[in-house]
Amino acid sequence: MFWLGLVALSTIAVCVLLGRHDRAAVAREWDMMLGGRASEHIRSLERTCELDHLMADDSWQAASQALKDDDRPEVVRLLDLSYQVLEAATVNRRVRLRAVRVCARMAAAMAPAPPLLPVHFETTELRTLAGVATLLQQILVSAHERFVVQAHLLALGFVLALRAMRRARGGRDLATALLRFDVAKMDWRSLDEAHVEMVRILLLSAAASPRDVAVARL
Amino acid sequence: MDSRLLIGHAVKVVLVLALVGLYARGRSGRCHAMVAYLWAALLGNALTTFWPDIFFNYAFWMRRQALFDVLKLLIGIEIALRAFRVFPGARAAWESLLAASVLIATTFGFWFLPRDVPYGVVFAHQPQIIAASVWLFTITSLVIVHYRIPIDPWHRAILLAFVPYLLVFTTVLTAMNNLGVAIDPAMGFLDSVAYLVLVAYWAQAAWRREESLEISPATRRALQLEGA
Repeated sequence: MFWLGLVALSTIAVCVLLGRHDRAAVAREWDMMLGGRASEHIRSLERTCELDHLMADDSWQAASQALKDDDRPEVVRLLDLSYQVLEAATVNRRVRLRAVRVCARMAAAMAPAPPLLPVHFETTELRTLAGVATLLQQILVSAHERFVVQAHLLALGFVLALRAMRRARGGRDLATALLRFDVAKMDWRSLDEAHVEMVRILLLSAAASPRDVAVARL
Repeated sequence: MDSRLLIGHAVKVVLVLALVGLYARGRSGRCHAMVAYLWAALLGNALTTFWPDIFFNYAFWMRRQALFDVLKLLIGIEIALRAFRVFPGARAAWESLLAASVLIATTFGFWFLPRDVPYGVVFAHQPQIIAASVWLFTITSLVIVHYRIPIDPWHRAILLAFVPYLLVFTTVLTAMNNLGVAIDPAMGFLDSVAYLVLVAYWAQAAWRREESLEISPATRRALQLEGA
C-alpha cells in the first residue's frame, strides 16, 4: 500500500504541475528575457510607475490645498483617493515581484541589486526592514539568493508602507495625517524605484551575456 | 466475442493511429523510447490477440512487462534529457534529484528485496518498479516547472497520460496481490479500459496540430523550439 500511496501522490503532483504548465506563457517569458526588448519593457514599466506616482501625488496635493481651504470632507476624500491609487498599485507591484522571483530562476547569472538601506526610508517599519535586508545581504552567499530575498523584502515593504498610509489616514488631526501619509508615500516611492531596478537587473542580467551562452548556463 | 479481446483489438487500432500520427506530424523523432514503447505495445498486443493459445500466458506477460519497465524508464530519461538539453542548470538539479532517488531506492532494495528470487518476483515487485518510473516522471515535472522550461507538447502529453494510467495499473496489481484470483477478470478489464483511454489520448496528441508561439526567432533558436 505504501507504493500505491507514493504513486498516487506522484500522480497528483504531475497532474497539477504539468496540467497548469502553459508552454506559450513560458515561451513568452523567455522571449521577454532573451528577445532583445528588455529596454522597451523597462521604459513601459517606468511610465506606468510614474503615472501611479503622479496620480497619488496629485490627490495628496489637492488634499493639502483642501486643508488650507478648511474643506475637511474633501481632505478625507482626496486622501482616500490617493490611498486607493497606491493600494491598487501595491497589488500590481507584489504580483510583479513574485514574477521576478520566479523568472530569476531563468537567468544564468544575476547582477547584484543595489542594497536597501535604512537611510532610504523614513518610517520605522521600513527602516527596520531595510536593516534586516542589509544584514541578510551580508549573510547570503550567492547573488541569486540575495536577489530573491530582496524581492521578498520589497514585497513585504510595499505592504508595510501601505499599512502606514492606512493608519495615517485614520488620524483625527488632518494636518498630521497628511504629513504622515506623505512620509509613508515617499517610502512607497522609494520601494517602487527599487522594484523597477530589480526588474531592470533581471532583464539585463539575462540579456547581458551572449544569448546562447546565457541559456546554456541555465 | 470476449470483451477483453474486443478492447485488445481496439487498443491495436488506436496504437496504429498513434504511430501513424507521430510519423505523419514529424513527432516520431522527439522521443525515440516512446516510439519503441508503442511498437513493443503493438507487437505484444498483436501476438496475444491473434495467437492467444501461444502468447496469452503468464510467462509471455512477464517478459513483455519487463521490456515495458525498461522502456518506461528510458522514456523518462529521454524526455528529461531532451527537455533540459539547453538548460544545464536545470539538468544538474534533475541529476542531483535522480542520484538521491537512486541512492534511496538502492538502499531500500538491499534491505527489503528477497534474497532468493522466485519466478513471480517481477510481478510481486511491479508496484515498486512502477513507483520508480512514476517518481522519475515526477522529478522531471518538478524541475520543468521550477525552471520554467517550455516543454514539448508531445512530451507533456506522454507524462500527463502515463502517470494516471500507471496509478490505475498499480491499483490493479495491488488489488490482485491482496484480494486473490477471484478479482482478476474485473481488474484485467479495468486495466484494459484504462490502457485504451491512455493510448487514445496519445493518438489524439500525436495528431494534434502544433500551436504557434509568438516569440522572436532569436528566442526560438536559443531554446531550440523546433516546430513551434
